Amino acid sequence: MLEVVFFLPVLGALLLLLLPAKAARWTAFGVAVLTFLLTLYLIPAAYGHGTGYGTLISVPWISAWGVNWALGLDGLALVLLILTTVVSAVAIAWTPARDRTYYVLFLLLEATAIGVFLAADLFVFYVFWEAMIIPAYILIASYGGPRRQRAAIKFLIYSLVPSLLMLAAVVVLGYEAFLQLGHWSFSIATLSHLSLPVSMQMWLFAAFALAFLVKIPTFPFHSWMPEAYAEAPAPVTTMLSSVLSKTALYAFLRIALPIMPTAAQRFAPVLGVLALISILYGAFVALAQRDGKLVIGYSSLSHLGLVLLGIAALSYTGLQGAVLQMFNHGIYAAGLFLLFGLVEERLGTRDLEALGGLEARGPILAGLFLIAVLTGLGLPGLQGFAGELTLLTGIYMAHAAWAWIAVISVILSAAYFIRLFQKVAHGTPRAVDGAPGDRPEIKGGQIALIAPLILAMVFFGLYPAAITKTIGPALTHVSQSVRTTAQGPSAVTSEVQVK
Amino acid sequence: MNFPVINPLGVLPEIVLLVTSVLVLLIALFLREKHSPWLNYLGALGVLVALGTLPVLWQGPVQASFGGAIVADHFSLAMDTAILISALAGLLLGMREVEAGSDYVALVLWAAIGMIVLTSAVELLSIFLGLEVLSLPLYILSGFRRHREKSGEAAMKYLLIGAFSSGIFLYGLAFLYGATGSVTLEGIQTALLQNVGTQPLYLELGTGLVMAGLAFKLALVPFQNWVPDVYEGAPTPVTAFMSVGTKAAAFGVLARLLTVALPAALVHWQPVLSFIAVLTLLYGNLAALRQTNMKRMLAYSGIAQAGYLVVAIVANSQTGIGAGMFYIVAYAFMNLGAFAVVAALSGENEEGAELPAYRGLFYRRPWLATAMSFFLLSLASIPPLVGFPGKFYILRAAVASGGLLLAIAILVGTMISLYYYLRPIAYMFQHAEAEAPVAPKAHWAQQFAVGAMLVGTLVLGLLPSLVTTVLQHAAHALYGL
Repeated sequence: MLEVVFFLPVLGALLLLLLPAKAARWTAFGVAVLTFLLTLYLIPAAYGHGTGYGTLISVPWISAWGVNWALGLDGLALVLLILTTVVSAVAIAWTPARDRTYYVLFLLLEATAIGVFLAADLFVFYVFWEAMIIPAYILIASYGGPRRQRAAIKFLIYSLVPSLLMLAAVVVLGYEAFLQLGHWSFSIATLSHLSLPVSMQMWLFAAFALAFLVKIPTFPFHSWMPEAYAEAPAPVTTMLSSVLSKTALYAFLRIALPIMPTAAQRFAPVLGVLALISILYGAFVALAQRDGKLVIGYSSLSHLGLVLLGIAALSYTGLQGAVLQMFNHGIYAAGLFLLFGLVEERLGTRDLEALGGLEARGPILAGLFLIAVLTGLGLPGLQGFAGELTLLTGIYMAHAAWAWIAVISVILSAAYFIRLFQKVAHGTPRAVDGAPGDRPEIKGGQIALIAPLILAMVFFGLYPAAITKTIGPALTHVSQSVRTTAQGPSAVTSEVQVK
Repeated sequence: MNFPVINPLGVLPEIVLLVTSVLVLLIALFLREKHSPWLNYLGALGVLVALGTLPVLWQGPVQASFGGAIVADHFSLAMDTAILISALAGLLLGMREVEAGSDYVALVLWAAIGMIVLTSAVELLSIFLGLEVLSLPLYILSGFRRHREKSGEAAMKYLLIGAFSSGIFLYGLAFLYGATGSVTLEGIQTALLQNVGTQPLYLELGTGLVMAGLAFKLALVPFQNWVPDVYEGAPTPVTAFMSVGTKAAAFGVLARLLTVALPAALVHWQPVLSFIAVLTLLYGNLAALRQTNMKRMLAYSGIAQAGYLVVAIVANSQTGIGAGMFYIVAYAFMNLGAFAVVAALSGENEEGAELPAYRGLFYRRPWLATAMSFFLLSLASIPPLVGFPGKFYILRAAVASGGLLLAIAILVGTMISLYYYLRPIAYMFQHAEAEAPVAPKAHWAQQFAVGAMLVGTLVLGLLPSLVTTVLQHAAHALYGL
């Protein structure tokens, strides 16, 4: 059943080509919903014996090269799979697009992201990682704002160039497997059992980490982000921020830490410093932005910096908070981008100085936006709080100083999010030429669409254990792989003997 | 005088092509209309039959012909597949060559014969023969649009530089003979291994000159100067055929020469070729950055691709040869596809080759634009298209033979190439402000060629294992002596 989650959107995309263009939006939505329901059906399959994958399918793909078509599902993958499918379903139907190509590309983007989360083979992972960039690029280049060409090219170059370094690392890992085991292998499980010399680990980790840091993005590799986020249509920005950034963070947990644990420890301070800079830099820029979409964009830079800091803490609690916040951020960032996209569409501008008065003229939209904003700033009882708290706890236990700096971002994020809401909802709007402006209220259909996200913000705010329990076994596995190396190679062998 | 026994099975594809070309010329005599598309169809049919003979020959024992000078072994049969596919593309795309008629078809078929002889020759003189049979028709074909100045310039340049390179190549062959006293590749290998009566200076000179001669054909730096002008000036269908066919043939003969005849001279050629490979792929990629003509861009990209191919040879392993062969197949599909789109968009004046013609193409010709995007992405080696496993295979061979630096050079080259491969795609998805030139409707055969190449690019990208095993087997033929 696992491969069906990937093939369903792909087949949906092909189906769209055959159907009349009028039916495209709702067919695409139907396919996306079906994919989401299928992931719900797969929940039991994520739990298996021990700490490995609950379900693993592995079929020889290019047997001469030791490449298997391997997809695996465990709690960690499941959480991100659910995030991807629910966000995709809401975003794909959010606004009517010009033509059906948009929906085809959107479904392909969803499918490739799903592939990244499910890949249990490094080759498969790489294929999806790269393939994911193409639909995203065309969506930006073809459907974005006035400066979309430049933004799209920048996104593309920033994404592809570091990926090629990663490709070198993938090949070297496969060859290392050949040297140690006698056959080429790209299975992530197999590769994490190789004993790689530290110097090699460092190079490999650097190659992987660069690709991941660009995709999150993290300071100083973020300069593609403002343009891409600003120019892409709101649903595509949602996918970039909610889903694509998570593929990179997820890849740290799935690939970089288990395969190169020693290098991960050596590099942790570097990652930590970059994360801290991202947190503060993102927060301060968000505070000064006039473009409302970029306030949300830079808030993502800051919040995902905190997630990366949790990963760099390399402790169980840090990782737990990281994954929890990955899921949470995916939901509330989607809510923020989509609702603000609606504001932009209805009022004709994103300029915070020109916006205003939404509360009076579109109270329901303003109310929904308020919930998303409050979730984003980490109000207790809503989704953002539990993740932030766990993260800060985990970071504090590892490096108290990091936590002290990071906690500033919590205050700042309250400041810029409240500013954002005030500018949008309060006051009176300045006249914008040619803006539709009269009926800013959200429509019934869109309320129904966004409802799952709003409900998730409340539900997982009250019951974060739903996530932490799901990811528990998989995270134990990841954190152990890092910790056992800390005690030296002898500890690894003794643990293997105990098993 | 004794004439060698000709085993027709050993040269079966060549015979089929030769018979077809003669038939085409004869039939043309009785046709009232000189430019009948039926001649192209007949030529294509002949190529298809020749393609059909390849699996049959593959099944049977190795066939040697002309006293063992030409051998249809698994290596040559595999290379011939790529060559014949490019010949087929050349014929299908050339439907619109108004001055074409029978000569065009016959010349393409003859050039294909030369290429096939080149990949199957195991004796120095036959190799030279193949090279000449390949070159002469291509000189004429490059200048086929007689009224276009650029076409004439292309033919002239190609002829002069080609003749020069043939001379160098022949000179090198003479030195190889002088060094070892043998004209067969195996004889040279034995003489070098036994080290009896070999002349080190002659050997070095011979190896160097032979490599230089082939470097002209393969468009390696510093012998690449003719490529952009010839590729741009020649009619697009010819460029398509020439870019893939010649590359396949030259790769085939270079691989066979170096691995069969000159393994003992490894110390002479490996460092030089590594250096040339890096230079070539960097030069090709950097020079392509500034091109605004699609054919020139593809010409420079072809130079870079030749650099990747040489890395596969330098790996000096069965995996490396297999990787190079796979890359040729991949290159055949994606490059022929890209040229096919250019041809489908061009009328007489090659207006479909200029970059501005691609502005907003997606909204005017969605299928052609989509196909072109796939070909360019594949050339940039983005998965899941065939260029990606192609590059992966070469990287794998390079890393496994200790050539990590070569692998990194390939990756740097690929990074540079992203810019110029992706720029046309960005153009195609722009909404055109001004009215773009109206492209003529493509001939159905051209559309078919685009579609077939697209299928190949996608299917082999998703399932490279369909051919990897076969190619690995074919590469073994060079080492199974």
